[in-house]
Amino acid sequence: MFESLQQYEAQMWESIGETFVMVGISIGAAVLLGLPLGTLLYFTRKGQLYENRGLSALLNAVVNVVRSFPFLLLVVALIPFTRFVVGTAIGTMAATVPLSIVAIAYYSRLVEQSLLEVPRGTIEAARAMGASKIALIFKFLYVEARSGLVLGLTASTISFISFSTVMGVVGGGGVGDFAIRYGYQRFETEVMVYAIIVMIVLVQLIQFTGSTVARLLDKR
Amino acid sequence: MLTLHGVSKSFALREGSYRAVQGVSLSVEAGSIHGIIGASGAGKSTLLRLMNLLERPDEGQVLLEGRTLTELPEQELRKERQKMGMIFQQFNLVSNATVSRNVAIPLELAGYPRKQRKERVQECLSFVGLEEKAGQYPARLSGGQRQRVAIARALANGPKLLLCDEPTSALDPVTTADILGVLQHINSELGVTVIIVTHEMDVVRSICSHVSVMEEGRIVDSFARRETGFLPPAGHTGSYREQITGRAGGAYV
Repeated sequence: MFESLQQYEAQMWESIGETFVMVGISIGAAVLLGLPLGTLLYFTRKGQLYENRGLSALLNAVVNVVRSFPFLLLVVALIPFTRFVVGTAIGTMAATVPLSIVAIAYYSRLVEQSLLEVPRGTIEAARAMGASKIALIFKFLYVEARSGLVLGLTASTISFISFSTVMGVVGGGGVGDFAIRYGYQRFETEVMVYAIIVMIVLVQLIQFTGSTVARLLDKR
Repeated sequence: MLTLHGVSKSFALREGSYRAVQGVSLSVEAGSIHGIIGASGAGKSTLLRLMNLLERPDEGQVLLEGRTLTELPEQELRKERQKMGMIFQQFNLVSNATVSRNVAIPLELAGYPRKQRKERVQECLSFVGLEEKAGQYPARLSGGQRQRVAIARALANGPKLLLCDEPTSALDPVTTADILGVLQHINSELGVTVIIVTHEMDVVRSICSHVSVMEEGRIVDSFARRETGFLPPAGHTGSYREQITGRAGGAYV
């Protein structure tokens, strides 16, 4: 067993690196764009502070369309866009484009849900104090919802890892692609098992870290 | 101090619109403790929310010390709100922030000088007797202590007016008396005008100098405390006034 592992060690590390790049960039996109999008979804909902039916319907439609694609088809459908953004449709960087788009849609929904759990009274108190929109968001909403936001990001990250495993189709690489090419297609079952174990350990670590951080942040 | 001119507010419901407040005019004297009493659903809380424009009136004007709040743009309205404190039945503290942080937030919003914030927070907390809880989170405090934190938070920017929405309705009788004492202290020591919305007769009896009675979105009775206490009405009508003045049962004023 160990012989085959030693033989592929370099490739294994490389694929872990690729997974980190793909998932890391997706997390970045989720936070930078998914968080504001989710906040906007929340604010424009019926009965919320900046209720806006048109915008709400539009944002919901976009998020739902992205999320209803079978992921593999989304990757293929986005090839022209990917080529436009990173100059090529093949490789790890190219793979981050569809992954980031799904990440934004996915996380924005979880953000919306977390924000809905903030008591209305807290928002009312903020308004009574004369808080501006920005202050309301950063000093009240995100502070009260922070453990939910972290748990949502944790769940998203684990989904991104899962999504990243099919990135072999556009040459994205990653641990999942490694397991399929070296383990499954070359009949090296040990390599496949090894790759799966790496994935399991990775997911466990992420969930443990996320849950711990969320618990420490929650003072409610 | 605060004047309402014929304010009305309706809410759209599935089965038509609901008129929560109907043409209310009210003048709150500076330095008074003004109680607004009535049954639940009478529109008291909506009326209070109209005073700092958390709800915009459909018609009518709200004036604070001669400035027409209903005509101010959003940004200036925010400045005016910083001069009014507000406390709530459910306290509405930021539960993921410490006691001192909760009190510091309104100071940050008002651009209070950074260096003096800590001192001001201390000052407000000691006024409500909670200096030693500064580093705690609200979840570790009792209801009465949480309301004290909310009061300290409302006082941070030195408001002239304090709006209280059922401030003691979630508290036991002893704690209620305690919080009412704090409110009275704020009124007498700091000269803050206090408006209290409540359904509890005892609140009005114990600290209010003026009372307005609300029924179905309208103010149906208004009266003031005299040196001898609240004057009973001429006839027996079973009204709030009678209950407050003690005729219909309660023994003290």
